[in-house]
This record gives sequence, structure tokens and C-alpha cells, in this order.
Amino acid sequence: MTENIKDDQIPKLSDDLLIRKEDFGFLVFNPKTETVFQTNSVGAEIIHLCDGKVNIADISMIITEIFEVEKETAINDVKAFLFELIRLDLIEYV
Amino acid sequence: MSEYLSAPIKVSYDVTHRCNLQCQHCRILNSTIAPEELSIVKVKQFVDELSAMKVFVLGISGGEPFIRSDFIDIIKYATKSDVGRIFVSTNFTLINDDILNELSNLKDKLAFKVSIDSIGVYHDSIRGMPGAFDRTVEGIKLAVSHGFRVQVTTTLMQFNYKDIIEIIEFVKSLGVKKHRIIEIIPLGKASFDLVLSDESRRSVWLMFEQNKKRLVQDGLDVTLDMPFVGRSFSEFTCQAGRSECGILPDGSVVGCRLLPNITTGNIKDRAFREIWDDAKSFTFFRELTPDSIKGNCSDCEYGRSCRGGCRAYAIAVYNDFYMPDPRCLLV
Repeated sequence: MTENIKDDQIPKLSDDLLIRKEDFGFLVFNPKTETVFQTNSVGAEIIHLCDGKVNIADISMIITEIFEVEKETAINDVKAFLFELIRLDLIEYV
Repeated sequence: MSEYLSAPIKVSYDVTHRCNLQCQHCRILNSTIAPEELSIVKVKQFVDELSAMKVFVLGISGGEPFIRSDFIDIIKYATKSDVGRIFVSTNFTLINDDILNELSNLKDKLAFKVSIDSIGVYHDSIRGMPGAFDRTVEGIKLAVSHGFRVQVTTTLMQFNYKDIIEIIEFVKSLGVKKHRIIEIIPLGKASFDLVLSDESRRSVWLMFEQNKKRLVQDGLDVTLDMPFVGRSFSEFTCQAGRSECGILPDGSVVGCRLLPNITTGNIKDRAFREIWDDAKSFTFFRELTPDSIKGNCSDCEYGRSCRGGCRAYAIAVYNDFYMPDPRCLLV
């Protein structure tokens, strides 16, 4: 699934989402689907970086630095997370 | 996750308990005695607080909310706030073209919820008003034709559960996209003779599962909320006071509107934010653990998420907040 996601793709949060910070990470409400998505702190950081300016490679590098994980692990985790966000209509690639 | 969120995901607000129907199963014991209602000024302040707290969903209900003469203004104010979605629960008997035209520019954010419990005169007998079914159906058709999203809710009782498939098909024929099936809880006006037996509950679940594939064709999103039957042991979780709460017409804050006597402050006296943040608020719900439930919930693999099931159902049957949900087959 995630193999089709390219490192130079740039994710951007969908319009109209409501995002709230909680102790565990973010709660993201999608008004279109009327669903709530819950993230942990890593997911919250990725969502924070989905501003339509930073590509996946750079997001993964930032995650590597902040959470001190292996580069390969970070890029796989970021892609898997973004795949889920696409499925839930929470991001698009610009 | 902490015991409760920084703000509710959903707040359900009864703007009034006055109603033009007399439903047999209403959670409100007496809709002819109107409790004090919040002024529109106070309602607007409350909505502003929900916006600031980033509450995602505001459900506005009654009684019949359209009975309030200022209800259109309340809808408009709420819908223009930063709350993500506004749901209005109504019986649609008071809706008309003029009202829907006035609200039509809000339909991206505003949706309606309406109940259909049976078809034709059976619905009327449940609702206590001849002609209620026709008026509700006309209201649904009108709202759908105006492009509003309408969700129908059906409450299953001992005498209508066998018609569940027929009711779903009828709802589908109205152009409604979402249909939620729930079961009666014997509180308020609802008497125990309306409650589904264990056998009826299993029968409903089977009928639903056998027909679901066919029913969801053409895009109907139909759900059966019937905990503790079939696969759904792991799905029940009560969010009262943790990610949801209710507000009664007089401003009382409750964890669950089915339990209106368990209040935790009033938004006339304190800011809603202050009430929600207070560690001493909603203590019955927030401090509930599997260990505090009588019986064997603490040993149950679902205990941590379920926490004994529905507290309203436990109170209805045992008059004891700490008894397990009597519908659970594992207790």
C-alpha cells in the first residue's frame, strides 16, 4: 500500500478540519465524514507538518530527529500514517 | 488517554422540554410541565464557550426544539460558530418550506435527526398524535428536497422489532442516507413492557445481519446500536463526562441526559469551561472503573472499555448506578 507513496510528495491537511491538542496527541474532527481521528504525539507532529510545504522525506527526517528513531523506521511509519490520513480524507497531496 | 478530554467531543443540549407529541417512550417524564429555559443571550454565551473550547459537535434537542419561538435564531447562531457540526433533533411536525428556506444557507454544517419508530398509524400510536407519521414523513421529504442531510433514528420496542427490515426499507425510500437503530431504555415515560426481551434482541440482530448487505446498497448508512449481542461486546463504551455531556433546558450540566438527576453544576452559575475542567465534576462517571461495578466486570476482558455498560440502563432496572448493565450476557 505505502510503496506507491513517493518521498517527494507534499501532504496538506484537508480544509475545514478541526484539530484539538490533548495530552496524548491530537484529536482531528473531519466535518465531512463526521468522524474523529485520534493520534499519539508522533502523529500529532506529522499532522503539524502537513502544511502543504514540507515533503515526506523532510517530514521523516524531522521525525527521526525529534523522536530519535532510525531513518528507515521513520520513513515507513510516516508513509503508513499518511496512508491512513488519505484513507480518512484528512490530507491531500499538493 | 486521560480520564477526560480537554473539552467534550460532543455536547447535547435540550433547548426545551416542551413538546407537541406525547411519545410513549420519551426519556422526559413530563413534557407538559416546562422547566425554566435559558435565555437566548445565555444560549449564545454558551455557544461561544463551546467554540472557544473547540467542541466538535453540538446536538440540539428537546422536547420539540421548534416550539421555542427563538429557535431559528439559536440554530443560526450555533451554525455560524466555530463548532464543527450542528445536529437538530426534531419530530419535523412543525417544519415548513419557509423555515427550511431560511436555514438553507446553513446546510453544509447543519443536519437534522428525526425519529420514525414504525409505519403509519403504529407510529402515531407511539407518538400520541394522530397524523404525526404523515407530518413527519412530509417534513423529511421537504428537508431532503432542500438538500439537508437527515438522519432517521428508530427506537426498537417489544412490539415493533419484528418490523425492523420493513422500517429500514421505508426510510431508505425517503432518500435518507443515514439510519440509526437503537433500543428503548425504560426511563422517563418508557415502561418495562416496551423493553425488548433477550430473545427479541437476538432476533433483531440476526434479522439485521442477514439483510444488511442488501440494505446498504444504494448508499444507505444503517447501523444497529445494540450492545452485548453478537460481536458487539467490545464496542460498548460510555463517554458520559469524559468526551460527551448534556445540558438541560434550565442550564443544568449532566453526564448523560438519560440520567437528569445526576447534575454537576449549572451554566447559569459557572462557565461551562470551568465545570468541564473541574476534577470534581461528573465524578460518578469519571471515577467509574470496572472495579466499582458490582459483579464480575473487573475480571472481564472488556471491562476497561465497557465499565459495566450503560449506567442509565442499570439505574432503570436496579435503581443502582453501580450494577452491571442487565443486558450483558457475561455478568
